Amino acid sequence: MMKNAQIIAAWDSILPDAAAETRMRNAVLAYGDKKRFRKWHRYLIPIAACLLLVAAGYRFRLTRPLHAELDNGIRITYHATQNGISEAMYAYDYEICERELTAEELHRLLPCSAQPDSCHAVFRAETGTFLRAETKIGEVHVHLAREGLPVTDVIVTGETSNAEIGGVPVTFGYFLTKPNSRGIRTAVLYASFMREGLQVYLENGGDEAIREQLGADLGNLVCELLRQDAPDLSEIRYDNGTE
Amino acid sequence: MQQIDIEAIYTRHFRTVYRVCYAYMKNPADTEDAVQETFFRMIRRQPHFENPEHEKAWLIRTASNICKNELKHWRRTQTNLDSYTDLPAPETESSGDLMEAIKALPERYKTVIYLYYYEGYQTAEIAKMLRKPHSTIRNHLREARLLLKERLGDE
Repeated sequence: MMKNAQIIAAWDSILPDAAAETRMRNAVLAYGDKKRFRKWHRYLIPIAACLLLVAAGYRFRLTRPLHAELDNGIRITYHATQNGISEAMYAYDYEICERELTAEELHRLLPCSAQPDSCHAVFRAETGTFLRAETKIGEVHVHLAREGLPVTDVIVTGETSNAEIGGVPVTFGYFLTKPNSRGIRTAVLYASFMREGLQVYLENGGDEAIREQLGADLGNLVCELLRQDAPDLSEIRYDNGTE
Repeated sequence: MQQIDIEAIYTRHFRTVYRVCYAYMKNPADTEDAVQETFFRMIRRQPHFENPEHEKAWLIRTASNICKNELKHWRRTQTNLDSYTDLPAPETESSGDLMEAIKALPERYKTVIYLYYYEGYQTAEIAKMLRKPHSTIRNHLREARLLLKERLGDE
């Protein structure tokens, strides 16, 4: 009778040679890697699509234009001017002198119903000519400069919106600052126009969540300024204030 | 599902799977394909193995099913094989008369012989593993013994 040991010995002889064993092992492991990759791969496209959507949504949120309905019915648009800020050359190659403007001078410069804060002005020392000034009306910063001089210490470039209010071309735009330590961004909205040789730059900033409101406030102030008489620089000189 | 360790399972069981497949396929090239397909199926299905014995039983059953399916397919497509009689015989391993006799057994007996004699499983365990009635396995074993005895003589 056939012995069990003989059957075991017969089966023992059935083994792949070393080359075949390596071939099979490699094929199995490669298949495993491929399957593992495919298992993840099928999620890659939806994940990438979601990330793109989130990125596009985030970018849109940061750069979408702002629209503001003003009290007089005018609708203005602020385009985002992200990454378009550079430093302005803010030095004079002649001697200057400085003083606060009187309330009357301030009214000549900024004729409006709202009362501006105290206004610090810069003059050319040699001639007493007005060069520039800074003040605040409510929460809006106002920078004024004689034509040809830098009106602020930054230059904002990029896409802006142009509107004509009371026949005067006005440029509107806004940008968002980087998030602060609490993750809050500040929206900075600005408007600028030129009137009777005076450049006027207005800036209103605050939490980005209320940027529409900030835009409306700024637009209304621009309308108010342009509704009034043009600024009169003739009576604003350094020697006036020193007398 | 927990990721199965393919390499560890392959190392533990590739000999067993190879022998089961070889009993059916009778040549190393087809055996190699069947072995790979067995492990590929394990990778695709990612079965949950409770222990190494469960692993082994799953692989033996799967290998056996793959080989049977492959042979069925060959039979279906074997139309004019007579015209290929001049081709060289498929490569075989020299494994002695006993192995040749085992390979010549009807397919339903081969796995039973292997599992019973070589792997040392009881007929009840084989029945469970191959999902067949216990009496069928016992009959297959008895018939396989008779056939081997008939072919090899009372050695």
